[in-house]
Amino acid sequence: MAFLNEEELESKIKELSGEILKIRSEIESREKEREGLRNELNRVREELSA
Amino acid sequence: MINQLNSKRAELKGVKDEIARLRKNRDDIVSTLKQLKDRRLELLNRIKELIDRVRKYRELMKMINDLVGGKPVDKDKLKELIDKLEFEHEISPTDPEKEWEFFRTIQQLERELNAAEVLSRIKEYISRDSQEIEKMRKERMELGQQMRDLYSNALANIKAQIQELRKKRESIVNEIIQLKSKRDSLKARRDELKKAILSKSAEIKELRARLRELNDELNKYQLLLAAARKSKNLAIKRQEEARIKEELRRRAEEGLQKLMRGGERVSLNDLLGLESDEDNEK
Repeated sequence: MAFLNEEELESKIKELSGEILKIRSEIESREKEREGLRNELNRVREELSA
Repeated sequence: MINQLNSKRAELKGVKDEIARLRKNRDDIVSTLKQLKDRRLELLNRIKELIDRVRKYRELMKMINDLVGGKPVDKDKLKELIDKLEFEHEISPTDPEKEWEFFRTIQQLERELNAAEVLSRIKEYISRDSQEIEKMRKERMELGQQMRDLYSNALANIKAQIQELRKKRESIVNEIIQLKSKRDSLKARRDELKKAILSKSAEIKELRARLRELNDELNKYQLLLAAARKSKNLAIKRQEEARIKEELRRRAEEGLQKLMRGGERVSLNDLLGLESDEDNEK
């Protein structure tokens, strides 16, 4: 890794924090989608065994 | 869906069993009808036989009547007549010509008596056969009525029930087909959802791995930043210490020069390069 000064480090940290927030948001979004799919799967299973 | 299918299958089995039971009843009735029909045919053949026999008896009677001259024959009167002639013959004087005539007459009368007895027996046969024919005709009629009753009541009723159950069976089969189709669609949807969930879980796993990498990287840069700040603060502190040290050295030198010039009052603090108490209090 090339030597970075304080400003460059702060900039990098800011950039990484932004990316982390974005990834967390994506994970949350996909978890919601998966939860929706699981709910639908439960409904389908209930209907199948009814 | 599965419970509904099982319920419909059980219902279908019930209907099939009921149809099988009714079919057996129908077959039993058809078998009975066939037996009755056979019995009627048997009776008809027997009636025909007896009618033919009666016809032959009547022909025989006609022939015998013709033989005895077509006269109506009365057995009792003939017997009475023969007895009378025999009595008269016994009490009459013997005459060869009359004897011969008596003999011929008696012979004729006995032939007629024999014929009358045969005719009487034939009449008995005809009567017996006619009664049997009548009895069999009655039985045939009763059998016919029994067959009509069986056909129009029991058999027609069973056929109607079977027809109704067949419609019901068809309806249940259609329902089962629809339920199976719906079940297959649901199974396909279930499989799709399972795949989609697995795919989503894989994406989430990948994103979490990426998140861990980013967090590690962030920690690293945060450590580097902390180290850089610490290093900078240390440099500032060292500069400050150097500046203070220089200041002390400069004051100590000024104090020493004052002492060497003489006459000027120099405090120990001046000599040590430290500020006086008054200065500190200021």
